[in-house]
Amino acid sequence: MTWKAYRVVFKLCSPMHIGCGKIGNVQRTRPYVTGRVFWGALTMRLTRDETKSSATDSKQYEEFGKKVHQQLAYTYFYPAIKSENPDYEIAFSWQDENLFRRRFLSSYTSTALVYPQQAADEGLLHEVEFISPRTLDEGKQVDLIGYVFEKEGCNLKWKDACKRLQMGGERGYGWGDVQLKCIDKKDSKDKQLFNASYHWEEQGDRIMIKVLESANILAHTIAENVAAKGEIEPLVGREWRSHNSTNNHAGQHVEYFGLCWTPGSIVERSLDFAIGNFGIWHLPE
Amino acid sequence: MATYQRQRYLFMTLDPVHIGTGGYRLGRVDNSIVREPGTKIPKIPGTSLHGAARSYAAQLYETPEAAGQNHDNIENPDENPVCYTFGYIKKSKNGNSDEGKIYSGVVNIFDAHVLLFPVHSMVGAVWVSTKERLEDAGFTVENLPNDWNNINTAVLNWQRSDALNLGWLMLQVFGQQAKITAPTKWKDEKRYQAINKIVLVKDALFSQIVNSNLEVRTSVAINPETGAAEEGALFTYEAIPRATFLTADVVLDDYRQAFPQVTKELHTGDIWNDSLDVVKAGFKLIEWLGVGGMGTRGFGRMAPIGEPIIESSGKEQDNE
Repeated sequence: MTWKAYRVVFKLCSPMHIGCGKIGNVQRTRPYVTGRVFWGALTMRLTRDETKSSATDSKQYEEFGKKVHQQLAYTYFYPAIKSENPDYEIAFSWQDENLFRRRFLSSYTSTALVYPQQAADEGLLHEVEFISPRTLDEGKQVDLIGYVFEKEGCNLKWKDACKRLQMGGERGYGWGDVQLKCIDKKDSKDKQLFNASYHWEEQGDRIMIKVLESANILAHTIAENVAAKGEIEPLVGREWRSHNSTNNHAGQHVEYFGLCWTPGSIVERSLDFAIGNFGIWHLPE
Repeated sequence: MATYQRQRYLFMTLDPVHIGTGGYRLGRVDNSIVREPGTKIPKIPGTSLHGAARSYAAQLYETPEAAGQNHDNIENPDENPVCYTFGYIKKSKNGNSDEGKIYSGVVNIFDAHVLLFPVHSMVGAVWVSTKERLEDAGFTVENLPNDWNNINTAVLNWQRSDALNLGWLMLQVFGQQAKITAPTKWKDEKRYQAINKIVLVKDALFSQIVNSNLEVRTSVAINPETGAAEEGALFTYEAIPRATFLTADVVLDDYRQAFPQVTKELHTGDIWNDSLDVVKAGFKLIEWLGVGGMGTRGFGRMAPIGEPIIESSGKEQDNE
């Protein structure tokens, strides 16, 4: 089996909210784009692009979602700033959390208005945190960088779909707008990802990521049998399953993916992880 | 293929527009306005445009219950073009939203960004912009000097070699005259043609110029008994000034392909064939009814200029 690796760069054009829970009336964002969010956006676009009539049955999305699982693998996407050397400076939030927060994260507070009265509606004040399209200190453009691996014989038009993606929450208000800057095919001998601490190789039907000792993991990683330092969280996400008997509308179904080390956790020894569905890493069986 | 289209609107503010931050932030005024993070340039958030467009379209369709936070009073939301366009939440008859109907809308309305900003100068009103902003909006900008690296220098679209002030700021001027062409659908519009003096500045300076020339007003509450100012009731607020041009994108992603047939005759004479027509009708009413706060003080009206342009979907550079 042969895989091709691509580095994908998106220009972030509007605020991006990758939801990770609520504190009071503040909806918090993750400081990166999870594989699950990328999968969701890609699946939605591919399904709608390929469907001639309405795409309101979640089975249609399920079919393309499975194809994405089977034919593609991908990393999480991280904020990056274009610089001269190296060409992108990738910002991992765990390197200096305070600085990252000051440079990349902001929040927007709003309430619903009642237009006939020209007044604020009651009890609807809320605050949504976001990754800013420009750095807050210097106003530099923020891009998102990740890697996509394409399996030989892939028939998904994912490169075309990447031109029309919107990712994360609040999309109805224009959030999560990304413009594809480039899809660079990596040389087959170039096995490095992000930086020298991470290398990829293909092993049969899957992509393996080699993480050096004391390096940070770059995706949610199934915690079972993995010795690491960091935070563990139950990874859950909302889904639309119109064929469910209950909770069958957009976002009503809650899916659980297991207990995971969060990105940024440090592995105690060098480990090889397989990239699974939704970009989640796990130890090979 | 489900219908996917991205449009770009050009707006001109007819009044000062105030989209408040809630007044809790520290700043030079009591009631500050929303800004883009990073550049600190004021904007009109997509949430504001979305809410106004929905509310006005619902009024136009004579179903005001199609706006607001819950849509339980709409008998059949799938047949209401406003609910179809912007989405709805309808609880079941026993009040359980889990068993009710929820559809997300088929349009995404993006933030409106400042494109051409009016500033007073020694030659009268001029409109300030940057090459990047104009090109992002679909304008062509030609004949710029090759050696334009200096932040202290501006490029004009008319002939002048003397220095020019933009508010309090004096800038040197390149003798070379830039040629700025608007997209076809906008260039012949009267309101756009009224702008005959455009000043291009470097991106790094644009925020400074905009923030120095916002409309700032001071008001005080009057005691009705004494007719004098109320003590401690003085407050200041800022707004995007009138005659500012902004652009905002709208994406239609009609995954349902079931836009209801509109049999009702709209008193504006508009015909709604798809959700983009609903959004357009809502936007048109902003010209009369306004967006954002301070509406009772004469703030908020903003007119769409010409027809929206249709955007191509990104530029891929595939180095395979």
